[in-house]
Amino acid sequence: MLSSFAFSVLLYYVLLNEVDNSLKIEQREIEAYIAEHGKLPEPMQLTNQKSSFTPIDRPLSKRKFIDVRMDSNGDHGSKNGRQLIFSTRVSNRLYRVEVVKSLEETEDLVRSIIIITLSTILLILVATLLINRIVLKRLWLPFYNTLSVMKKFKLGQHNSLQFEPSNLDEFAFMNKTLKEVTDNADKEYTLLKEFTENASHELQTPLAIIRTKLDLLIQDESLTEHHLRHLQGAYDAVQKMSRLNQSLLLLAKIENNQFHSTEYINLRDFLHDKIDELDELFADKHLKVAQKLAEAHITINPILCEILFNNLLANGIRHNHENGCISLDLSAGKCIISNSGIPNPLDNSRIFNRFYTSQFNTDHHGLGLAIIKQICDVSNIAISYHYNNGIHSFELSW
Amino acid sequence: MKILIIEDEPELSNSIYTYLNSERFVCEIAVDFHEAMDKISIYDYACIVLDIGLPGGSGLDILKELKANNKPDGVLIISARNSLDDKVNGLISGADDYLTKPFHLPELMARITAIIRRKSFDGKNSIQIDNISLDLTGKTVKVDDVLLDLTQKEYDLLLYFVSNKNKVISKNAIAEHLWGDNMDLADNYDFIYTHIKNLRKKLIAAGSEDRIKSIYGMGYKFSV
Repeated sequence: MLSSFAFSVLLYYVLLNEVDNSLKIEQREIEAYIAEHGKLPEPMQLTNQKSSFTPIDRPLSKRKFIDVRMDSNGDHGSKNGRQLIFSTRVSNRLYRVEVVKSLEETEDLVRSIIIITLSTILLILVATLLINRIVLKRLWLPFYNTLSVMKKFKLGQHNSLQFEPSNLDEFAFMNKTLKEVTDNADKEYTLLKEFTENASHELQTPLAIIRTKLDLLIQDESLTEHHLRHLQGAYDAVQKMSRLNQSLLLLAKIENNQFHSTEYINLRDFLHDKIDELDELFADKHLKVAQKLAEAHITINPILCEILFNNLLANGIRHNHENGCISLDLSAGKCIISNSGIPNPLDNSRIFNRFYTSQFNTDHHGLGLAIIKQICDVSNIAISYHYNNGIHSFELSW
Repeated sequence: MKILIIEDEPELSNSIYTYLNSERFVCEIAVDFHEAMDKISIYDYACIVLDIGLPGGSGLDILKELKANNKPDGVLIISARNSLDDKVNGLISGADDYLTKPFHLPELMARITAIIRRKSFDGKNSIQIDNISLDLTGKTVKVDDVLLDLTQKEYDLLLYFVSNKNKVISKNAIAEHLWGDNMDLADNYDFIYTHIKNLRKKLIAAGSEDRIKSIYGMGYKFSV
C-alpha cells in the first residue's frame, strides 16, 4: 500500500514535470511568434489550454509555475490546471503572459496507470499464493508425514517407526536420523525397564531367605517375648519390602502391556461382590458404606479391574478414620468412590506420582495411586481427584 | 514320604529342608539341574519343590522330563515371578501348584501337604486329629461327630493350622494365607485375632482340647 502510494505520488510529479516542460515549450513558441511577427499571438481558449495577455508596467522577475483551478467550459465544476506566468516585451510594451494547461489528462493517466499496476500486482500476488500453496504443500508433504509418524511415537512400544520413503535427500536424511534416535531411545528405555524388573526379581530370593529364616527362628521355644517383638519388627519390614517389590513389578508389567486381553465386565455385579468381600474391613473401622450402583459395563482386563478397585477401596479404608464413611456411586460410564479422611486436600498435581505419600500417612509405600493411574491409562479410563469438605473422591469415567 | 527340594540358593533350600523335615517327611536337596535330573530318574518323590531358574538348565525341562516319564511326583513350583507373569502361565499348567517368592514356610508346607493329599487320594479325603475330623471334599469339620458351623475363613485357618501342626505360624503368614493378594487391603492383624478367637471358641465348645496357643501375640501354634 505504502509503495503504491509512493509510486503514484512519484508518477504524479514526473508527469507534472512533463506538463511544465510543455508549458516551457509553449513560452518559447509565444516568444518566437512575437520575434517573427512583432505582435502578440491571439489568446487561446481551448478546453485544455488557455493563454491570456495583460499589459504590465514592470517586468516579472522570473517565470513561475503555479497550480490553479481552471474554469471548464460548459462544465460547472472546475478542474486542476498548471499555469505558467512570465513577462515578455512586444514593441516596447511589457505584457504579462499566462498560459494554463489542464491537468485532467495527466490525472486520468496517473489513475489508469495506478489501476493497471495495482491489479497486476494483485494478480501476481494471488497467483504466487496459489502456486506456493500447491507447490509447498507437495514439497513439505514428506515432512508432515514424518511429523504425523513422530506424533504416534511412544517410548517402550517396541515398534520401530516406519517413515514413508522420500526421494528428497534432506527428508530422507531427517527420517533416517529420527529413526536412529527413536530406536536408540526405545532400546535404552527397554534396557532400563528390564533392569528395574530384573532388580525386583533378584530381590525376591533374598527376601524369601529372610522370611523363611524368620519362620524357622520363631519355632525356637527358648525365645522370650522380648525377642519375638524384635522378630515381629523384622517380619513387618520384610512384608513391606516384599509388597513394595511386588507393586514395582506390577507397574512394570502394566507398562509392558502384559495385560492386553480385555473382557466386557458388569461393573455393578463386580462392585457388589467386592463390597461383600471387604465387609470385614469396613466393619473393623466402623465405616458406613453408601452404595448407589446402577447398571454399568466396562471393557477392561479382569486382573487390572480387580487391582484397580482393590486399590481404590483400600485407599478409601486406609486413609479413613474410625466411624467414617465410604461411598460408591456407579452410573453408566462413570464411577465415583469417596471417603472421609484428613481435612485437607491432597496435592492434585502429585498424588499419582510414584512414592507420593501425604504427610499424614507415611506408613504405606505410596505406589497405590501410581498403579491406579497406570491401570486407568492403559484401560482408557479418565481419573480425577476432588476434595470437598473433608471428603476425598476419585472419579473414573470411560 | 520323600520330598525333593530343587533350589540353587543354599540358604533357601536349607530353610525349606529344616522346616519340612519331620517325622512325616524326608527331604533331599538338589542344587543344580544335573543333580536334580539324576535324582528324579532314580527315585520317586511324593512332592518336588522346584525353582525355575537353575544353573545348568531350566526347571521347565525337569518338569517336562517328569511328565514325559509319567512320573507320579507332585510338583510345586517356586519362582520369583508371580502368576500374573506371562512367562509363568505356561508353567502352571504342567505343575500341581505354584508359589511366588518370597513365601512363608507354613504356606509352602500347606501347599505341599495339599498336593500330597490330592495325589494319594484313596477314597477317604479327610484328616483326623484326635477327635477333630476335617472332610476336605465337603469342607466340613466335625468334633466327635458334631458338625461345626465354620465360616470359609475359619475352615481355611483350621486346615492351615493342621497342615502346620506343632509349628509356630506368624501373624504375617496367617494374614497372607487368608487374604492372599488382597493382603494389601488389610493393614492390621485384628482380623486374624477375631477369626482365631472364633475358631477356638467353636472348637472348644464342641468338645475339643484347646489346641491353638497364642505365642506372645506375634504368632499362633496348633499343638497336637
